[in-house]
Amino acid sequence: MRFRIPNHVDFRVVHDEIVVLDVRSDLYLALNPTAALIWTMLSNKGTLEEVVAELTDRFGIENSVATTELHRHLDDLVARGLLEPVDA
Amino acid sequence: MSMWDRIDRLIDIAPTLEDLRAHGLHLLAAQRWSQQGQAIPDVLRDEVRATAIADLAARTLLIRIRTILDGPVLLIKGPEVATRYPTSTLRPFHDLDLVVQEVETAQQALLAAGFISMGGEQWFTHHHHRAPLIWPGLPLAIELHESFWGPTWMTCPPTEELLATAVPARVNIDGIQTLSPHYHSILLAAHSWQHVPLRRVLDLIDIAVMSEGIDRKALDDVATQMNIGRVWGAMIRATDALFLNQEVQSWSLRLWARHLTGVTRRSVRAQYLNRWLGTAWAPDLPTALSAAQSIMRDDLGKWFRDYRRRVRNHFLQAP
Repeated sequence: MRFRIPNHVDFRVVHDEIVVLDVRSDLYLALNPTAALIWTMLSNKGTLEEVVAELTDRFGIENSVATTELHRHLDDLVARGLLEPVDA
Repeated sequence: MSMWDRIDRLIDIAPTLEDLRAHGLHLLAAQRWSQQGQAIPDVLRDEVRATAIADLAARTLLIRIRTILDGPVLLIKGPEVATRYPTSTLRPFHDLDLVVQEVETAQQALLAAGFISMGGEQWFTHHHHRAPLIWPGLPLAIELHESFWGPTWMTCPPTEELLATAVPARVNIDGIQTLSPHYHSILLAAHSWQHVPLRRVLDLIDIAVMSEGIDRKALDDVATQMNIGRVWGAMIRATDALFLNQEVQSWSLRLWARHLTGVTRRSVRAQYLNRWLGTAWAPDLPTALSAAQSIMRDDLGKWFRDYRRRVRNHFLQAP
């Protein structure tokens, strides 16, 4: 599964964080280094499997834990309109 | 060694974060420390995030303003100058300064479209810009300019001339323009000088990036036409001395630029004194004396009002 950043979302990379602005709602938020890593990988057309592999490798966590936490995070971003799934 | 390498050296010798902030170098310092693997203080991380939000908000607001206003819109200073930095989030800014043809009409159009005045209209009747506006939820003020702030003896080109020579802004939004780099460089120097001569390193970086690649004679000519040739000369010499390592020839700069080369803060008293002494860069003695009188009257008036308020507060708080 892949995701894309909608046209109404703009972002800036600042060091290891990312600041995101939804220009429709004027909502902005800062992504911490882990969320910024996920955002960067997905915006570079990375797949969920690749992100999970990176998270398990980098943080030494179980694959199932990484998958669960990643889905929870992505559901939140999608619900806020900051990410869009592009295929199932 | 590039200008940015020299700025890194200045960051390294700055005594404290407060000194870096006073010189507008704190965001550049955060980047340097991040690249070196050093910890960035939480308060500075907050400022980095705030600048990134301001940078994003600037783009959103400019697109919105462009759809509301007819006629030319020129973006000047902060966000436009920031596009000439290695990344636009390395230069702090807190407002959008715009030049438009019909300021009052534009101000009313923005208010009608949902922008909100930050208040204090009475203070801006004779000011160089109208009362700041904000869009609810976005942390950036918008200031519409009808003139430019600079030394009292400056002859500013008419708005028509500035609009006629405008160029597309580097923020790259359709219909948003900016001043020609010639005028922009000189007006940045004039604005900075009127605050306090040789105020901070950031102002000199702004001048350096804006004037890069422009024939110096052409810049000198523009400054002379605007009657601030001596002010421009002092600013560009200080810029060269700081970033090109050229020897500082002038006694005034050797005396004045120590806080720049050491990245330290001037005391409040020194800032007032320098504002008054800065009038000596007027083209002639009568103009300098008149400007000094005007600045001293303003500064002493402010100081007296502040003193009176503190005395009043002291007695109000007394048991």
